[in-house]
Amino acid sequence: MKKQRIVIVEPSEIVCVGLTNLLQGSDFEVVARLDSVDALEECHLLSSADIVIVGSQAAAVGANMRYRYEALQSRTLVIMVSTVREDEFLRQADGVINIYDNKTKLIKKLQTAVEQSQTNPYSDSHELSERERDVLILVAKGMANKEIADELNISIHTVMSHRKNIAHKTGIKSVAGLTVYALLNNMLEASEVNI
Amino acid sequence: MNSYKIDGNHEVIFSQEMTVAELLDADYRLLSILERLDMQLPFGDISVGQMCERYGMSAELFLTICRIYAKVEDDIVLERLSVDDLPMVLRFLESSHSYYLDVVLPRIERGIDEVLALCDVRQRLLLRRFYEGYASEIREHLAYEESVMFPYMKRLLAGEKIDNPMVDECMDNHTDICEKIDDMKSIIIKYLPESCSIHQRCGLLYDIYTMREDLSHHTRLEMELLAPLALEAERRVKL
Repeated sequence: MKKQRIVIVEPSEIVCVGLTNLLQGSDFEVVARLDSVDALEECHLLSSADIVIVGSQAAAVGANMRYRYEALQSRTLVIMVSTVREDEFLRQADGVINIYDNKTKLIKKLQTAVEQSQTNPYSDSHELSERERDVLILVAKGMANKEIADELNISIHTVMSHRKNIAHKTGIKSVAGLTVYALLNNMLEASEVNI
Repeated sequence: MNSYKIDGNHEVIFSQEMTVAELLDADYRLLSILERLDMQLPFGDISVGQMCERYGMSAELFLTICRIYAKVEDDIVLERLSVDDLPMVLRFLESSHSYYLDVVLPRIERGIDEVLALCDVRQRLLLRRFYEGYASEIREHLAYEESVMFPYMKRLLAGEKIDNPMVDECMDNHTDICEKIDDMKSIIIKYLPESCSIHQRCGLLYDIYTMREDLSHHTRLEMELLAPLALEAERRVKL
């Protein structure tokens, strides 16, 4: 396995430094540390990262975290918890680590997560992500980028980046064409659009 | 014995001396140029130069148009052309417009109807409407050129005095007419239900690819050949 580069999203320095030290000398290397998932988009090291580990914030962001952050869709997502629990929000992850795991267990879990993510639907570059589907449906309904941004509570910049990915994945650029795509794939009803 | 030369990339160099048959052998897609200029087959063994003379067209211009359509990589050489070639460029563009409207679009429309005949009603209506949206966009684009841009250029050629030059403005307003046809292509290749026949689907795609390619040459001809000649005509009128 090639060296896997990790970005940790965790506000606790104790946890971050601990994790970084534990992984020293292994196939995993921590390249950046962020306080919040919102900072992912601005992180210039992200493009080279293979794995994102989200710590205590994951539970607060909830089950749709991966839908909301594009950066998490094409990478291995590992959630770090401090208690043993069976929560809905853990299902979106390729792997779950616990802060009480020892070094051996930790590395084993990360390796399994990387293998797991290769079969993950999010990694399929031609399949639209859930968030991209949301944007596509609103585009088909005739909404402008600004309106879509307000509706989904994301920035215009993010809307545009979703639209770029949608065009790239589907091979369709025009609004009329995207509407046809959405209807052919039963993503919305004909009565919901003006065609 | 061939009457043409080959360049360093093993490609035929277009020239006035080569025969029309050789030109078409070099790139059969040039048939559609002859069709548009109403140059009737057969040509026997006459040369490109002789054919152009017969139809009263500058051989330099004819070869330039052929290069735009067949040799996409090559830059357009304007040195041997002048404002005197503008009327013929306009004639070629106008006949290209009729070619799109009377030949190409109806063919694609028939293809779409055949492909969609086996789809369910809802999908048929949907795609038919998308196609109609595209076709009307193309018609509008061509109509703008025919009603605004070409008449303006003809007034320039007639030496009419003009108040505001519009060539630059026309070129800035030049909209992308390839986007939706690309979308149509993606939909037919990637998303149209299996119930559509493969032969009809391929036939339609072939027509769409051809039209797409033709439109991109057409746009290039307008931007890189028509525009410089028309700007020159504008300068001449103003002097």
